[in-house]
Amino acid sequence: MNLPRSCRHSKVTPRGHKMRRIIAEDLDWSLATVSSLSNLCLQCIVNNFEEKPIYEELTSSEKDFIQNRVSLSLPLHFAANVFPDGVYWKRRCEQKWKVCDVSNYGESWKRMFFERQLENIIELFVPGITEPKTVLDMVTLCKDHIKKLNIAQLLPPVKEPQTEDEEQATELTLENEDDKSGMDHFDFRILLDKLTNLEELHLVYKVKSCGMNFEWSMFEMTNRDCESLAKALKSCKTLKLFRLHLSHLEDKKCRLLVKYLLDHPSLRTLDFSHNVIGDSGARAIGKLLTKSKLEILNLYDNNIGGPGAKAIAHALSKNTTLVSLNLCLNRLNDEGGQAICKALLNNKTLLHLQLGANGVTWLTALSLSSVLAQNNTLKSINLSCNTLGEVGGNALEEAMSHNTSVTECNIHLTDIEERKVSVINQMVWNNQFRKQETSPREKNTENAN
Amino acid sequence: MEEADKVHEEAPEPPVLSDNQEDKKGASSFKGKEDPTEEGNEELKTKMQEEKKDVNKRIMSLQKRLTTLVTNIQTAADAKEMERRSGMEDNCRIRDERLKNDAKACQEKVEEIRKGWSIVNQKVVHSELQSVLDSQQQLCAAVIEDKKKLIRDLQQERRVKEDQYLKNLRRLDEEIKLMLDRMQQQFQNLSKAYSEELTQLQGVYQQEIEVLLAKDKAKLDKHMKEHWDTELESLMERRRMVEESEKTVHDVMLENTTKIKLMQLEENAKSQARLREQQQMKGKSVVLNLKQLEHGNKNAAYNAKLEEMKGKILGTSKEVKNLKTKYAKQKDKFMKQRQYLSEVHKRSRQHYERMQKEVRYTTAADARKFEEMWVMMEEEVTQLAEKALAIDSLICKHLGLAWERPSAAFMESPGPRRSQEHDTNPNSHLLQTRHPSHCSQRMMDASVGPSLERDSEHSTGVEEGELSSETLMKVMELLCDETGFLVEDKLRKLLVPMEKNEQTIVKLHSLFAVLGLKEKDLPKLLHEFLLMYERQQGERTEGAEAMENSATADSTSRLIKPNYVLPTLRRFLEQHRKRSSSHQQSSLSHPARDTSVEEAYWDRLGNIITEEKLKLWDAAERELKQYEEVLMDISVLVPETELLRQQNTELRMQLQQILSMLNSLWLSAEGREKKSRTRKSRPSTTTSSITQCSL
Repeated sequence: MNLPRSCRHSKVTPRGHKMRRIIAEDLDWSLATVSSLSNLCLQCIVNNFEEKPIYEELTSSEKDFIQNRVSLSLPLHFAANVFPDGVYWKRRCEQKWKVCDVSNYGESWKRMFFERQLENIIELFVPGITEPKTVLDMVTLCKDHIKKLNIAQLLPPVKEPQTEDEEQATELTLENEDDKSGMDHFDFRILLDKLTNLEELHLVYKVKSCGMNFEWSMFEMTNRDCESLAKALKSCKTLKLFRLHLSHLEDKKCRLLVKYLLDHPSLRTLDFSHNVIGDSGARAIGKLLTKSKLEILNLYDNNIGGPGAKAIAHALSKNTTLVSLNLCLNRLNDEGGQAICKALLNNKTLLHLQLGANGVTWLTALSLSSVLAQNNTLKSINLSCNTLGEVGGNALEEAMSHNTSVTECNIHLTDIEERKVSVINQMVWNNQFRKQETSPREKNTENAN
Repeated sequence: MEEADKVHEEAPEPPVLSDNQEDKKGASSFKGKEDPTEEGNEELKTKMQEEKKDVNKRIMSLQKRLTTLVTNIQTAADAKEMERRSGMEDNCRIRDERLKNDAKACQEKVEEIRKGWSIVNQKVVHSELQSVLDSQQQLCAAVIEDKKKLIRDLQQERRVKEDQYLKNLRRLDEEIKLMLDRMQQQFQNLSKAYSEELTQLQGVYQQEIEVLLAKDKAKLDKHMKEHWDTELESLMERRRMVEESEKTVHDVMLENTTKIKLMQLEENAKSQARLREQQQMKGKSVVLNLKQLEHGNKNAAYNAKLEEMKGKILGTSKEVKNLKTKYAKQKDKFMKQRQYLSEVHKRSRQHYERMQKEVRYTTAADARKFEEMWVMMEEEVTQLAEKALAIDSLICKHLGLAWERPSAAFMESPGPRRSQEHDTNPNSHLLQTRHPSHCSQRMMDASVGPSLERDSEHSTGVEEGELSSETLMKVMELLCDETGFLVEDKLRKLLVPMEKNEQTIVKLHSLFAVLGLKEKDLPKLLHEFLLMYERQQGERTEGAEAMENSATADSTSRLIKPNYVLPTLRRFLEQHRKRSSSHQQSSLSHPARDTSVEEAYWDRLGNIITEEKLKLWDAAERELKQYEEVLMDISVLVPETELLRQQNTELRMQLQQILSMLNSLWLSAEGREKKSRTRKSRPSTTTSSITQCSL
């Protein structure tokens, strides 16, 4: 049975030294080290998995074996249908990306793999060069697993190097061609209506690490982009969160987007931070507030002035769903700030209000303090980086002494005396403490949400 | 730059903040003590609230600490952005103003020029025209100069702005780096602090939950008890009432019957009186009814009380339910997490087991392979040895020496490995192999030698001793008596009715159980004792073997001094433990290979051809080589001699031919001479001889 054993006969046979040569050929050869038959069978399945996938009928430990060994280069369309969420997808993820935090993806490795894969494909999509089919193929595989898309860049199409004649020609027809200049990005219409479980969409129209090829047009969306995106959003009925930031979104495009979002059935969170939305865009958003069931609205770092804020305030006074409003880093001034504060006199749902860095003065502080004395729903206020001054500080202190609901109040860099700031903070702290004591259950449910 | 300074100022903030936090904590705990005293109704409640408040404060401070820093940074960034925006606006405004001014100035100048042109049109004289044209030209030049200056200024400004922008970018980069560093640091600090906090909080929560549960339970029990007590009381009262009323009813009835009887007696005579009596009865029954009604009212009151109690119970139970749901939610959450983690754990454990199995398998396989290789090597070496011996014998035979096979028995006996294999029972072989090694050890250890010698001597002596079971029994008894403190009292009581022999045996059993020994260790133990005894003996009387027998006889009566029993027993136990542990080790590890035997075996194999033989071989080889050289010389010379010999024979044959020819010639010449004496015949003979020679 064993070669070394058979070698013992060399004493009998005169050609013993010849038999020994067989051993010398492979010193490590030994039948004893061959693994068990079941393992060999499983290994065989693993080796021929692509031709003959045997998986469902195995026991769980055998499935584990297969998932641990199967080649990671199996074609996706094949693997997606065979393997459920588990070690195989974990391996694929870890092979592809260094950092994998599965808790961000609902503890599902498969979801993580597909979401990041699709994001990758879209981020590297070059219109006119990449076939839309690559995206569509991927979508058919993963449409059930994708809940969130976080797209961090969108590439513009490659520009043809223009000859001088053409340049002149384009200069002449620049006005007409501006809209059809072919600088459109990826068209979301082909994607969003197919993802039936999509809940969150984060978009940025920008190019990462563009280096010396920098052009402003890389960091904004075209009109046609805007239109297609708006239509795509309308077709995606499950979307709950939409975030479009750092994309140079102007009034016109904002109005267009809002027009299509007006009767969206499920949208709850809208985030247009770091854009250039002005007053007319704000007016459109105000209209959206009256029509939809938005709960969180974020307009951080835009260009909204007094009139726009008035429109939003008008909507706010009638709205009963909005919970959080962020208007930091705009140009509300006292006109807008006072309008918002007046609107709060009629609003009983808003919990978080942020008016930081808006150039408002003690006038707004006065009207806000009159709100605080009455309104007992507001929970957090942010008035940082405004020049409230002594008068505003006094008014706020007075109002806070009557208020019991505010548990967060940010009044850094507002020219209020240190002593008053600490007094106000102490009162806020007391409120928070009291709140904790009276309704710990409420807090829990909030956390759970 | 101001902002950058601010950032720098913020940098040392965390420690300050944490200090504040601690201060706050201290303050809060102090306050937490104060508040409940104000409310102070029940001690338990205050304590609970205190704990709760403490935990809440801690949680809140944690959250605050988490967010404050971030908001600070954000507000700083916002302020910076604000500043930048306002600066940009200012710049734009200034530029606009300047452009406007310039445009105005330009307009004026253009107007002037236009006016100048109208003058030009009026002028006819050449020189005048010339001068006006010159002035016009100067004006135009001035306008162009102005424009150029403006352009230069603007360009200058742009360059400055560019530089500023670059600087700004660099500064931002530095700030970001700084921020990253700080974030890293704070992240570490915070995560450490939070983990500590978390464990603390968990502990506190656990306690709180326990306390709450206990409290609620106690409360419930108390309420229930109170309720049942009141219920019982009311029941008792009712029963008493009922009894009372029954009694009154009974009394009334008695009264009535007597009255009826009286009335029957005065039936006819006093019918009117009877009627009156009847009215009286009715009145009394009304009173009774009233009383019963009163009872009913009281019952209703009790019921109401009961309801109230029930409501209270319901409230508490609801509270308990709320707490339970909270608990269940928490539990669910943790269960989910645990499930996930346990799954991962299970998978890794399976993996680990598989690996272990494989490792075990491969080690076994390697060991087997090693064995086989070893055996094969042995065989090969023996074969080689045999071959060497055969060659040796051949050499000896050649040299004419007497050759004898060295220790044929050894050659035939297989190597230690193979013999081990041949053995059906490997254990016995192990013992065998161990035995010689033990012997050798004994030989080597000269210092320990004497004692061991004595040991062996003693073992023989013990065999004799074993025969005398009496002695043994006595030793055992002594052992039992001396170590009686190890035997339990209960056992001793049980043993009282038994016979002495049985007693000792049972005691010994229990003793062994206590000491962790086994039955088979008993003889060893006894040997130890006898050894000690002998040593005693040696101390007392040295030599005098003849006396020894009698001494042993004596010793059976006195035996060993009881004082020595315990030390001996301890010594024995130590040895025993050592032995057993070493045994365990050997059984655990791989069967230890006995290298000394194998070494000896290999040495013997290696030295099968001794040094002398080798020398002999060398000498023989040298001789043989010389002999071979001589033979070679001879073999070179042989063909030469052969050739010479051949030539010799040829020459001899020629000579003979020539001689015979000469003879015949002589004969014919004599005949011819007889016929005709001519000189012609000579050359022909010479030619013929030559042809023959060439042939």
